Formats: sequence, C-alpha cells, structure tokens
Amino acid sequence: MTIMIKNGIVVDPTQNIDGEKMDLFIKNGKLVEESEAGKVEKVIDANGMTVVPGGIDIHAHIAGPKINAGRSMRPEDLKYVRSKSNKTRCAMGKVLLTCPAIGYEYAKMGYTTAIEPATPTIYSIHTHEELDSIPIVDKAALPLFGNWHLTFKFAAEGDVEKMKAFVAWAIDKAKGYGIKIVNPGGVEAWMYGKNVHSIHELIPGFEATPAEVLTTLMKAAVELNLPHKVHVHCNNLGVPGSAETTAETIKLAEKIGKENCLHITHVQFNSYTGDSWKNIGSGAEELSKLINSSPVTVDMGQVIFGHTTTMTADGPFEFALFKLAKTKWINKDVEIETGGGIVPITYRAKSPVNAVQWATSLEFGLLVDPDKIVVSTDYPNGGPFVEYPYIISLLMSKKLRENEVKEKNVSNYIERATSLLSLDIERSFYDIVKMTRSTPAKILGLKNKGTLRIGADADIAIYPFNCNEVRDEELLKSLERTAYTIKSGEIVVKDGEIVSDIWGKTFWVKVNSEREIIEEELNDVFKYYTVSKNNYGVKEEWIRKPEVVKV
Amino acid sequence: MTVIIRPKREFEVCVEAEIVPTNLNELKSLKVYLGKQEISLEELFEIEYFEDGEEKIILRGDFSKVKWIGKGMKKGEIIVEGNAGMHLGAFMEGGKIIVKGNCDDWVGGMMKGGEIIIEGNAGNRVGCNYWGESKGMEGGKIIVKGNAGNYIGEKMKGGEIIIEGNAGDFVGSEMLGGCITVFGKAGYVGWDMKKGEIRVGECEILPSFVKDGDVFKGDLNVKGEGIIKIIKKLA
Repeated sequence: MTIMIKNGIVVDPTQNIDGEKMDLFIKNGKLVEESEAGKVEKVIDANGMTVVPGGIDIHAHIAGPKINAGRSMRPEDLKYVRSKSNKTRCAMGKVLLTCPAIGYEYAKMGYTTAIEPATPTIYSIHTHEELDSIPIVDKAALPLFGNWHLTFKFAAEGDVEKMKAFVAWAIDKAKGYGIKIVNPGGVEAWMYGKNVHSIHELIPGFEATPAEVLTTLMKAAVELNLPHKVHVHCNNLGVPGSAETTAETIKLAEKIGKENCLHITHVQFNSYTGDSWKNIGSGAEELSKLINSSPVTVDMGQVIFGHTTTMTADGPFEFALFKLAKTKWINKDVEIETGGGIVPITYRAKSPVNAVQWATSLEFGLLVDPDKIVVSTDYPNGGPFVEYPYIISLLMSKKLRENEVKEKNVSNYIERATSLLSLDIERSFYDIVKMTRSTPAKILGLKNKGTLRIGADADIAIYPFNCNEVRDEELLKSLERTAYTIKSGEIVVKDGEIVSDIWGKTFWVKVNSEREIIEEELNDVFKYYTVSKNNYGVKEEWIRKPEVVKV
Repeated sequence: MTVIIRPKREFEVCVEAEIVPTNLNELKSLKVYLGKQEISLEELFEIEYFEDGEEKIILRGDFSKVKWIGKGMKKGEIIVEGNAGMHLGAFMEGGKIIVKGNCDDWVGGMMKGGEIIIEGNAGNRVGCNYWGESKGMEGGKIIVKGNAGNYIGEKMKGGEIIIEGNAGDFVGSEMLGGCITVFGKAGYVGWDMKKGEIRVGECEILPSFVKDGDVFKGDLNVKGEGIIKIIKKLA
C-alpha cells in the first residue's frame, strides 16, 4: 500500500530535522520520494501531530527460558487482562506480559523493534520460538558468552583468532545478533557458590580474569566487524561500590578505542558508591563524565516503583537479592554456558536504596550525551517497558520530577546520595527521539531503523500532540498511545488500538570465519555434552521471518 | 428485596456467574458465561423478586456447576438451598453466605471478611490463596459442618476456619496467622507454618514440630512460631 503522511511535524535527528512540517511517502514498506510514490492509496492527516521513527528497545528480556520460567513462577501476574481475544489475540500480564501482549503494547506506544539481550545458545531454539510468537515488532536475540568454558579458555590463551571463530560459530548456531556478557566469570564462580568481585580476579578453575574475557571478546567483535559489538552486564552488579567496577570496565573499552565497541547495559544497576547499603550513593555524575569521553554506550535501566520480577543470567546476584527480598527464587545452571536466576521484587519509593536506584538512572538520562544513552527499564528487572512514556516525561520536565518525588513520597535520602534534585536539565523532544530511536539504531548497527531517511524501513510512530508546544502535564498522556503506528509500511495501530496483526522480522548476523581452527575444542566439548554437535542450535528455516545481516 | 433464583435447566457445562446481593434490580442483565458463551443471567435462570426490605438472594435448586457465587461481595446475604460450585465467596469482604448442601473447591479463596456457613461438605482448598499469591484468607469466618478436603487455609493470614467433621492432608500449610479448627481427624498439619494456630482432634505431627507443654510448636524448618493443639473431638 502507498501511504502519504501529510503535514506531520517531523523529528528526525539523523537528518537534523527538529519539528518541521513535512510530508512523508511510504511504498512497499520503505520510505520513498514523492516522485517515486506514484498513486497514493491512503492519506494520513497528521496535522498538529508529531511524526518520528518507530522506537527501538535495545534491552528487554522479551523471550527465552528466563521470562517463561518467570511467568510460570508468577501466575498471579497473569490475572491482569490487557485485552480479550477478538480481532487480536488475548493479551495478559501486569509485568510479565504474554507474547501477544508484548508486541501489542510496544506497538501502541510507538515502538517497532525490540532486542532480547540474553539467550543461552543451547536454549536459543526456545528463544526463537517465543520471538516468533511476538506480533508486530522486529526483534533479535543476543547469545550469552561471558561464562562459557570455551570463552575462558581462549581468553586465558589470549587467542583472538580462535575467539573469533568461536563467536562466529555460536552466533550462527543461536541465530543471534551479537555478543552478550553477563557478570563474566561470576556465574562460573557461582557454580562453586562464589562470585568474582573484581575484573582482575582469577575465575575459579581457569587462568583468565573477567578483564581478559572482556578484552578478548571486544577484540574479536571489532575484528569480525559485528554490527553490534559487545553488550555487557558488568561484574559486581547491584551492590554498593559497583561504580568502581564499571569505571574499570569502561577503561578496558578505552584501550580498544573503537567507537561503540562496548555497550554497558542497565548502567544504573552498577553505578553505586559507598561500601554498604547504609551509605549507598549514586556514582552517576562521575560515570557520566567518563562515558561521555569514552567509546562506550549505555542504557538507563530505570527502576519503576511497584512490583516486578527480576531475571538475569547473573545467578549469584539473584541469590543475594533473594536473601534480601525473601520471596520466591529460581536458580538455573545452564551446563558449561551460563546460569540464571529469577526473584520477584517490589521497589518502594520510601526505601532509601530503591529511591537511590530510581534517581541514579534519571541522573544518567540527564547527564549522558543523548548520542550515547538509550531509555530502558531492563524489562522486567527495573519494571515493565510500558512505563517508557513515564520515564521520558520525567526526563523532559523538572516540574514533573519534583511532583513525582512529592506525590510518591520518595525517600529524602536521595537529596544526600544523588544529585537528581539539583539538576535543572530538561531533555528536549529532539534528544528523546535520539535516546529512543537514532541512538539505539546506531548502537545496534541497524541502518534502516531509527531514521526517516529515504530508503529506510517504514517504521513510524505518529503521536497525537505537537512537540513544539506541548505542556508538561500533557506529556505522559500524549506519549502513552500513538495516533498511528506504522510497521513495515502497514498501519498497525490507530488511535491507540491495534488494527492489524502482522509478523515482524528476526534479525541475525552471518559472520564469515574459519571454523576449522576450533574444531578440536568443539569436538572435545560435544563428546560430553547433552546435545550432539549436529543437533545443536537453530536452523534458519525454523524462524518465521529471518532477516540476515551480512558482515 | 429478596431475590429467588432457580436454574431453568440442568447445565451441561460450568456457568461462571458472579452473583452478589448488590444492585439487585440489575441482576437480570448480569453477564455470565455458559462455557465460553457470554449471556445474561435471566436466560439461564428464573428470577423472582419479593419486596421485604431485606438484601438477600436465595439460590434454589442445583448450583453445583455454578462458579464464583458471591465473588467479592461486601454486604447482604446469599442462601444456597442446594449444592454450590467452585470459588464460592472468593475475595469476599463482608456479608454472609449459607449453603445448605455441599460445596466444591476453593470456598472463600483469599476472603477478607464476612461469614460462610456450609452445612454439608466442602472440597479442597478452603480459604486458600490463588496460585502464586503470597497470602490466602485474611479475615472473616468459614464454618463447614461436614468434612473438608485437602489444603485447608494454605498461606492463611487471618480469620477463622472451623471444620466440624474431618479434613484431609496439609491443613494450614505455610500459614501466616489466624486460626483453623478441625474437630475430627486430619492428615499432616501445618507444614512450613510461620504463625497462627491449628486446633485439631487427631492428626499426624510432622517431625519439625516440638512439644511444648500440651501444644506443638513449629515449623522449625522456617523458624515458625505456629501452634498445633490437640482438642477433644465433638461427640
């Protein structure tokens, strides 16, 4: 269908367009020039509305064994019905949404791409089954590398060539999109009931340190020229004093020196100062300076007050959380690849620690260069992704931040421990479009996303407000639901309701590399593995709509 | 106003009808489910009104396939002159339900207040939490004059459950407060209980309970302070 979006107020940082009235033309799922469009079949009158590219979520645990185990662990969460089946499929879940609910909720708030950031390669077949059940959005999965015995072996030997071959082999098996590292070495140490507490500590049973693992994988990613390099969940996450570990990790990336070589995810969760829960503080100010002057990028990991369920491959951290929260707990050991844990938790505004977490991520959102930071809640660890409009409204208005502190009765400990209340910065809508569209597209290396350039994918969100003259009070409501969401040239949302149920693509990266050099090591592993080498991994034809990205 | 409701026929599948004694005039058009089909209450039941200044619903006939009677009710009275289906009085906050016959599972699930009296037998999971929830019954009173099934008062936090007959296994498991009395026999009682009291005529005591005077305290596995007391059986 050929669609014309007429008189919209366009914001597109990739072309330096900030709130100009323009017409856009869509044909065969792409943005085209007016001259190429031919006969227009549908005209959308976007007068007084804001037109932006579709949003991109760089880090949301939307599929795979973890969220599924979380769902079965919290049946009470599924009592919340979002929409009953009629034209669309039934959508349920307050925090742990069902697959259809994930696709629909993203589309309703103008997001069209989401990345599942942690999938054990051996379970990637499950991840792809679930990704295939999520409607509308485009997606991709990042396989986990940080605690794989082979990673440790090649890191200890400092053998970048073998690491490259291994990364290429595993990404191909998982049909993944990049390299994810969770608490390098720490999950392996957890198999012995321990953790690693510094990036220069030896990993039990191996001659490698987390720093060596990170460096070797970064070198491999850079040399393989992966579109999205290394996506890391740092060591020592979630404990006071973790800011120091994060700073050290950033320095490793500085040594590599290549732009975007490291993405530190949910940076809020590892940016605390202090040495105990009693004197925890925010390290956001120092770390923001460091991030702005280094080649790393980050996402926020905003905490939302209320119930949620944390889930990460970081087994030891989840155990520590279970000790604090004293609720339910799932622990999982994934052979020699990784591990995982799940714990439900409630973030309370009155709790000083939770208040510091809430404030720290907002500080990052305000202080880090919008070309380097992405809005995220680390769904579902910080809270549900449906709260992005809430986060954006807080970033855009100091008044709303002050109101929120007053209304929710946020612990006044944040006055001492963070700088949030003294920050006068208010993000412009242009910056927000960067932080939710163009920056994640750039970090992920998705050239046709996050932009309204001619030839780009026609993933477009049209919000029912004028970004040039919006009042603070209207912000949240205006951003929660789009007037139109267009995905691959089809109108999927109209006036905040799903009107058509389509399937998005699954991106994966095809890397050319010499596999032969690790053949011996692989054969050795598969001699003892639960799955034979031939049966391991996912075949492309099993995926509903695969989209290969060649490097 | 008293409303008498009678089923028009025998139901081949379950009916989900959240009948509560408020807005009695609108009861006729109450949306209920017959299987997956949504229809109004008057299509399935005969409804008669009597002006007598009361707030009362009388369910006459066999209601053993009707679920969710009195769900979340806050006041008034429901009398079931026969058997009742699952989830009777779930999430109830006040008022009174009397059942002259037997009841299926989940009587008073997660109820917060009010009173339920069952003159026959009750099924499993009386006064329990729903799947995944951290608390079961939090207040009110359930009296079963006959026997009850397994899992009575799981994760119960407050209120009172009285079973005049026998109960099955796992009475008061993971209990957090409140009181359960079983005058007859019960199986294993009070595993992982943290607080509250279970009085029982005869039961199996788990090894994680210690004798303290004439009561048993536990469950030691969770450092609980619950009490199990052996009482005299009713004649």
